Amino acid sequence: MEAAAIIGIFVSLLILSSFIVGGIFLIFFLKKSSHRMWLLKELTLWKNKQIIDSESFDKIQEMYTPKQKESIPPIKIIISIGSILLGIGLILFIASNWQFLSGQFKLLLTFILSLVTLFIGYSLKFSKRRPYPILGEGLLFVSTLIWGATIIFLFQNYQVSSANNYILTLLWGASIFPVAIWFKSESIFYLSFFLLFLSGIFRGNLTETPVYLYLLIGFIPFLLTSRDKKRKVIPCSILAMLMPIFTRFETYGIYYLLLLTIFLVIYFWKKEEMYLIFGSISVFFYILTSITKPFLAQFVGHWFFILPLALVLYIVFWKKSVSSLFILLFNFVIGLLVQFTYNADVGKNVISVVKIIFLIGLLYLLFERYIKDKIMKLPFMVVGYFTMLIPAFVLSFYEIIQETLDPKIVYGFLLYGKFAPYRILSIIVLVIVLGTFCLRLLSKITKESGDIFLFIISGLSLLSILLLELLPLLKLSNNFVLWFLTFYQNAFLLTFILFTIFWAYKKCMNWLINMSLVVFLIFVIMRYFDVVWKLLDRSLFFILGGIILLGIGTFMEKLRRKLVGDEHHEE
Amino acid sequence: MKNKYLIWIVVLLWITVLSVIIFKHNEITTHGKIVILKTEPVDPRDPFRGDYLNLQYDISTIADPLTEIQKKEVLQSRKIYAVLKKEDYYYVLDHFSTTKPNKNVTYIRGGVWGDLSNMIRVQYNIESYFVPEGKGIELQTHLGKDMFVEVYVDEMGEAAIKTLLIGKEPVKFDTNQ
Repeated sequence: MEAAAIIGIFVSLLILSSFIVGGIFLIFFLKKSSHRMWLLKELTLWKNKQIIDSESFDKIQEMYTPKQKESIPPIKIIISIGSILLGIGLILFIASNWQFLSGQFKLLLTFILSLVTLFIGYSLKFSKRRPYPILGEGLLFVSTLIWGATIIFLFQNYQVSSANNYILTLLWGASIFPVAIWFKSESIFYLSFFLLFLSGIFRGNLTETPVYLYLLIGFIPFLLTSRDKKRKVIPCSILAMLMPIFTRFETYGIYYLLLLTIFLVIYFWKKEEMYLIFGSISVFFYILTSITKPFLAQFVGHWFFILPLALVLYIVFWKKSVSSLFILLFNFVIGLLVQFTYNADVGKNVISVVKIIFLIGLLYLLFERYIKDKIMKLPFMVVGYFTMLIPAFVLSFYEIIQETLDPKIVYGFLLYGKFAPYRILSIIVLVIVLGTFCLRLLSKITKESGDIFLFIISGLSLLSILLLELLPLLKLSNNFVLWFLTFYQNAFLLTFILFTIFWAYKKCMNWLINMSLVVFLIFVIMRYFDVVWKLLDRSLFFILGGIILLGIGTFMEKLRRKLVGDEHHEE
Repeated sequence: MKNKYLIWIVVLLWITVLSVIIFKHNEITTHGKIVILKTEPVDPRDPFRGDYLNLQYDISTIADPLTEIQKKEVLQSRKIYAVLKKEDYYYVLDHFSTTKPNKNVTYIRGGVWGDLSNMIRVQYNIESYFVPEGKGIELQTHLGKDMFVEVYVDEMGEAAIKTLLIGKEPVKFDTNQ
């Protein structure tokens, strides 16, 4: 075996094991200090002091038990990631070793494998005697991945042009959709949705037309059929967040207006304020996308954004939705900022755009606390979280940092030339954020009511922007600056993710914990890719990773059962 | 166990999807006529399917100046027929037709995919040739030689690749490595 391969295996094992240790630690941490434990302790105390009788004790306990059983996310995530890795590994294994097997044999093999995993997954998930719902779900997911490998293989074997990848993804996505619905699998639903979305992108690239429709077709039925309010909020946010990519960011910002119309129609139909909030967020993204190419700019000037904004503002006043009002006020500020700073060259520099988004995210996160209604805080959190996270992710790549250091792009704080207005306004925003940050600092010192999470994250992200702006201006070696910035951005991203997990835990936001764990995993996998991608045979790497994670998942589920069982016994 | 029958419906659905793809391909290869086309390869990678050659043909772009009306018609119908004629060893483009040619001539049906800097791009579903992982490089040693593709073309003008020819020899890969 080559030395590189050994290093690859070593590094992958190291990363995997650190992840495992982290995961186990997290489970125990979450488990140990869970609210239920506290409640149990208190309940026992009340019972002993005869404040409540045994019957009430049982009733209260019963009321809280099932909720707690559901809320152990890491196992589910580990199993899911394990399944994904295993599936990808199998796909790559099949794709890269096809010369050793005859075509028909391979086709049959993958197809049978997909059916076998489908049946095992199904019987594990729905078994009456001893169901393993999470493992079953994982295997069902794997079966849909292997099924995809079968289609890919068939297309490859028949030399079907890759121009037809949109048919491939369409067939795959559509044929697993019933599995998602009938077997109640959320992960397969999202895979199916993702594939249909990809199909839209492929087709859009071929025909050079926008592909927003696929996204809407995927999500709108889901929004309308889903009954759980929280479950609706997440797809809505994803919908809003994915739209920039989907509508080719700079070109088709106008489709946000379509999205706004849809949200408003659903709002008037379902009478849920949430949709009005998301409508407002669509306006926000519409304004954001007009950074590079304002809709109708050539006909009506750059001020068109006032119209949708005014419309929603009117509805908001009429319906007295305070949260939406907040979002719209931000929209107005951002709108002004974007329109003033509009410059065709800005779009060429990813960092300029990223920095604006970064600041907006920060503003959202900072002002979230002034919203009184608890559920209304959610959209603020979602938007703030993602607008912070995505740029942080983008900036954690060595190549991107390198691009920002291109002498043609870096202008520093120089306040001249055509970028001057943009620079000045960036500084104004910076000052506003800095001001807010100082206010928060003051509130922290005076009232002790401030939130340490936002406090640190605000500081670090500001530092991040300042470093990006100022470091290249200092006469240091380019290589040093590059590595320092890459290191800082990665450390920042990691801190952001970990802080979010603990913060979300403190605030009892399960969705945010789950989301952050997934992001954490993506982060680890990304860096893992950077390091070992070229060193290790890809299929082997995925299969090994997948098997290990599935194994850990199974072990953890058993552990969970044991823990739940033991407590039950104690009770 | 509920959903007992649903799993069988899924199995049936998946088998149907496979059968349709296989059936469609077999239709072309059993009833199709073999046509040899000259090609120019480039070497990108497919994110799903490992190494492949991207094949370009003379018929891949409509370079002839089209009138605005013809152009609009082509872009709207998204369909075009490339009528071919044989020139000693391989087939070359005779002309493009927006209507279906009669059965006496050989033609391939193409999908029109957008209008790129005044050139209309056409895809015939024969633009990718997949090679075993890592063998794309091996093929590059043949760059500069004439490359041809043997293609099945059925009565409807649907095409499927049979094999890649370098010079006049079918390409073979050493799979023992």
